[in-house]
Amino acid sequence: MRITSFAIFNQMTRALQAGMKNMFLYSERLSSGKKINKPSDDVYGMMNAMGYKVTLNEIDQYKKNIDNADSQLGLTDTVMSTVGDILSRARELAVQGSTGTQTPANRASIAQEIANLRDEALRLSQTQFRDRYIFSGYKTGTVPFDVSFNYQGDANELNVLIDRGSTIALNIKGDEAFSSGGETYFETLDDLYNALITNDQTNIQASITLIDNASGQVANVRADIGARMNYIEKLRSTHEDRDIALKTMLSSTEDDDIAETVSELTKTQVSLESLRASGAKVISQSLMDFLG
Amino acid sequence: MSLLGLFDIGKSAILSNQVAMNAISNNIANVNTEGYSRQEVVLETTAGVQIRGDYLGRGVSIAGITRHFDKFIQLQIIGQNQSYGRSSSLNQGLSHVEQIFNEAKGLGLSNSLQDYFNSWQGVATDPEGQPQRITLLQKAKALIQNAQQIERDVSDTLKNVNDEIANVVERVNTITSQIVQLNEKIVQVEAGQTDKQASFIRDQRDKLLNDLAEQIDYTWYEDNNGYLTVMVGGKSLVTPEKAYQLSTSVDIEGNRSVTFGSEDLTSLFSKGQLAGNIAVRDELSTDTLTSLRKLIASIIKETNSLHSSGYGLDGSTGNDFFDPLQIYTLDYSSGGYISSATVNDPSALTLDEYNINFTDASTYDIINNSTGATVAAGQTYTAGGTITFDGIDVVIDGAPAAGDSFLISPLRGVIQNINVAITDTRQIAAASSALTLPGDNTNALQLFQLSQSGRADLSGATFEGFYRGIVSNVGVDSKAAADSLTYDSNLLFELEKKREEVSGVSLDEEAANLIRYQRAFEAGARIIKITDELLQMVIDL
Repeated sequence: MRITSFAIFNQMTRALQAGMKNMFLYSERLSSGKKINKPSDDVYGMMNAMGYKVTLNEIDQYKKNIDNADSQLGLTDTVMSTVGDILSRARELAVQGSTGTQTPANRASIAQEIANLRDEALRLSQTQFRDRYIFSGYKTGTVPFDVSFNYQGDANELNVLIDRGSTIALNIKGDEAFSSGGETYFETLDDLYNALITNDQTNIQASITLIDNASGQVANVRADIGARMNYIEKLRSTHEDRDIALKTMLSSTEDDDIAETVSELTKTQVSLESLRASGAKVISQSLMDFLG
Repeated sequence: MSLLGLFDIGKSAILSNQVAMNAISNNIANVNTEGYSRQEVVLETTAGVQIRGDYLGRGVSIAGITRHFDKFIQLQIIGQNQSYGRSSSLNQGLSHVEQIFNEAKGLGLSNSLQDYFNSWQGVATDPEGQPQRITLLQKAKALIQNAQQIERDVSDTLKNVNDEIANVVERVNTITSQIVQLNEKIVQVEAGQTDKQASFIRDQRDKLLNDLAEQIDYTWYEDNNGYLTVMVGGKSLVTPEKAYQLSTSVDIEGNRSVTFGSEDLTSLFSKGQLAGNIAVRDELSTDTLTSLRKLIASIIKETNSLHSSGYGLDGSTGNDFFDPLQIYTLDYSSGGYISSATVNDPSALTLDEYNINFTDASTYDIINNSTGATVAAGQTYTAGGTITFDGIDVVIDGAPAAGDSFLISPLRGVIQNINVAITDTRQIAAASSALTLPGDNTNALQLFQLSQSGRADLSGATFEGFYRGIVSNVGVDSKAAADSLTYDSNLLFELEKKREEVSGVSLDEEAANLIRYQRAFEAGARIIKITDELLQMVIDL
């Protein structure tokens, strides 16, 4: 085998090129922190990484939806809790008003408080979340109950996605939240008011049962809200677990092992240096140097 | 045998060794000349005189100059240069395209695709919310702009590839004319001399053959006179008389083809930079661009179909969210023309490309280019009549002839011409019914859920999955191209190393030879000096 100076030179420059290329790759990895810097670095890994990112993004959206559902359901629960308080106070007053010892004047003043409670309950039914009535079904621009206490909303539920293929209703329909046995709480309180004004003890007595029914319904509604909030809370923690798991997988797929890369970089550097040192010797020498 | 004969022997030694040193010096001078084959002077004894029945030589003379050259290695190098040319162009083109889809750096379509569909969830969460609706319109526009940017980048690459094809042809033409000139010189120099070689001209011509091999694949042979003939697909580019030029022509799609006279040779090339560039072009235009357009067309089709069935806050319905799909056509005919091409039923549209091929002046077939299936065969042509298939209405007029064809595609201009049709946020149809406004979000939910299920037009893949397929193809092809480039360049290096072994100049070797011939020259000179002294002695007697 004849070895020519050109062959040595070629071999040397190729080896240097290869070393420099590796240096470049390792420093690219270190500067981006990623071992996949373009699809062809690892097509399979990149496809996985893209898949993980899509799922992470989806989970992120579900978590936002859950936060949103949590706010609206929480607000609804607060409202229903206040409605419950109103009904308890109304019951106290009704019991007070039903005793035979009460004078018509006393009943009239109790009636005034009942009227206030009735109006308060009606105002609560008109609660808005982000400028929309939460007790009107899809008719979020319409007051749920008109002045004659007729339900103006519809029976629809606003569903949002909280997991793939799984939805939760954000709203409680007004006629479910504010009526029991086909009668709204406002009507019940209004009837009580009229009975107190007219000193109608029988009807005052009758309204106590109706108020008890209403309180029972409020408790049912709050139980429903509680169950929904529990459910989304559980889902939230599931999503968070998945989030962490996916981020771990994503990291192991695309993130660079910095320690390893640094050590590879150092190795390449050392071999490049020795290559340069030996190259300088080999290339510069020939028999010509010794003629003279 | 006279004393004066010694002079001649000395003189022959000086002259011959001087020529040898000339050859060595020339080798040294050309140590870095690419394609140079080292030369060596071959010496022989000059036929001598008979002395007592035996022959004694009468000095040295030059038998010839050898060009150290291995024809077999040269053949391999030409073949390998052709492979190398192809993979280097392929690698260059595909590694560029890969960067357009580099999801690792956040480039590509993935983010804007997800943002767009997530915005529908935003609207679903708050169907009356103005901010969510504004966000949706912005994200839809961002998706379109992103797709347009990608399409532009890919199209720019395609344009560069087409320009490069023209450049390759230009280089081929330059090389072939140079070969013809060298042919002439070699034949002149070598004429009538059986053992003489026009060494350095041959080196140049071999170098040109290597350069040519990097551009295209070809076959060649040399005749007895030294004329080289170069052929491509049965056509002679170089004959003993002249070089025949390749040229290029551009079709209506902007694609350059390589022609020889009136004949299209494009498909004949399988190696060299030419074939590499053609392969990149095919990959981009038939695969990458078509898939990208199909993805966007599918998003438009599905979004519009659901959106137009829903209701906006203002009670309006039947509105397209994006501009509706259109039909684009390319006319490859001599006498016919397309007077209109429209979508008659968006739901029946397949998002495939079709060809209407005329078998004679009154008969045509409709072929689905994507599946290869025949949609309708042997149809009778009526000028100005409407041809309806797969949700498309096409009207062809004029007098088409046999062999004429029309490309009918819902994809070609889809990305370029698309826009968000909705400008009034109230028209965004989140509701499924006029009766359930304004709180109904069911249509918005369904629009989001489009992204979660497979689409028949995309072979059952989801939008995201289909897009991932595009990136994956680009990545796999780029990787394969990079791998074969490494392989081909390693192999080429090994072959060049082999060539170097035979033809390359070793300075050590030349230095040693230089000393050898220097000593012989000095000794020759000494013979003359001694002969002179001897003659002087004789004269002085």
